[in-house]
Amino acid sequence: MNALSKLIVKAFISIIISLYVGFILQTGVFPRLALAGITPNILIVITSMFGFRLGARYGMATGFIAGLMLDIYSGAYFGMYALIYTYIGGLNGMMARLYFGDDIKLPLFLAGGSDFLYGMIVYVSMFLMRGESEPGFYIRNVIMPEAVYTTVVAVFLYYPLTRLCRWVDNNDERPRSRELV
Amino acid sequence: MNRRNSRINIPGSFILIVLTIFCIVLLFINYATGFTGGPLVTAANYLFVPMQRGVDYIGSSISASNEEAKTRSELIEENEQLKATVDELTNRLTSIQLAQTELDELLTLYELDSTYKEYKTTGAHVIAKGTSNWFSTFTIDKGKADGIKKNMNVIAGSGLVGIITMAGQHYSTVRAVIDDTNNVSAMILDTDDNCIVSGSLKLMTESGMIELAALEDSENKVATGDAVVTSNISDKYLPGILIGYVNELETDSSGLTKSGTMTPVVDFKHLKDVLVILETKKTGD
Repeated sequence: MNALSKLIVKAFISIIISLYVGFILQTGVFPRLALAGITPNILIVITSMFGFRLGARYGMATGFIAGLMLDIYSGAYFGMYALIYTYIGGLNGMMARLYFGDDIKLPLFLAGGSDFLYGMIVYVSMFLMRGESEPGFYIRNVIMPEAVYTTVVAVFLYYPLTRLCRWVDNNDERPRSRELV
Repeated sequence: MNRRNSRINIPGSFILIVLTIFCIVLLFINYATGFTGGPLVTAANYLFVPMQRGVDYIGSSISASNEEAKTRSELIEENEQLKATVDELTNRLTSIQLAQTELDELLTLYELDSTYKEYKTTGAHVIAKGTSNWFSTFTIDKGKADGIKKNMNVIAGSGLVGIITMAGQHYSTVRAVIDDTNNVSAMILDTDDNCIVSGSLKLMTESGMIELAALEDSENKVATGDAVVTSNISDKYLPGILIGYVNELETDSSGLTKSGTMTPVVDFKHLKDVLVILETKKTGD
């Protein structure tokens, strides 16, 4: 039980701290570094990494908290982001099966892919529903640029986040949980 | 192996279902009651706002030192331009003052109050930009403690920026007029024709404009460059705040109304300080 509570505390601390820093970066720092009006999505990188490295349950928990933070600040549709991010965290957790060693390509691809998926869901649920057709325009001008910028930023977030995941997991003889959804 | 067995054995699918139901309940409560976080907002107030202020302070001092690095010739040139503007504006001011005196005299004669009185405002700093690339919302560093309430109008310079969607203790979130979900009931200043101004992510990325629709202009009087202001029939926006200028108009297929695009007066890309009007519209209900 001791090891278990230790693990939960560690996971909780790492999730909260990384999301906190990520949120400040996303709302305070990166808007100043916006390229063509597009800012990267840091919270999706964190959700994706945690899900992928630590399993679906951590992914979902991270996604849920990240989504709630965004919901508090965005005002409209309270609960929408929490829902989207929870599923993205869970999906990345399912990919944990593909994880081997310190390969950087797959996590980066997943971070970019998650952001693309997030963009598509936001487009369908909040724009298409209101009659904004022309998915091509939104993919070209919002979704793709954001996914690319997010992947680039994910390169820099990869090592700190990996270290954090290792810190959470190092009590275990197995590198991380393999339970799937 | 023992340790592994002692780990939490709640299946992932169970967590997923619980969280999904929880989120859907939240969405439903939000839809039914307009709930936007309650105690979580208070928590956010103490967790994020001090940090965001700090980051914003550092960020703005860095950009300020960039400004200081302007060369001498640039400064001289800018100074000359500014002097010219001051001259021009002084001239204009004199003529306006004359007109104003005349207007005041006439108003006293007719015993009328000025329709558009000066609104009481409070200045605020933009401390964080929106949470996604899809919506134009931002956070300012003043809240309930400074007298800000939901649905108060936000302006910058002389133009409408948006509306307060949520007020925490020391911060508030603002939805800009260029946000894709935002609609403002507006009118053309010269002709008093009513219309609807809606933000559009698509138009904004393409050309920096917003939509103007449902304009009833049967006499074809409205032309490019006409000022668009908030209308007096709007239920959330105070009347007579400048939104922007008409860009182009086309007659709708119904033949009764017109729609088109307009340019907002506020530069939303470089928004740093805003003014919040400390008054909400009284609609009588």
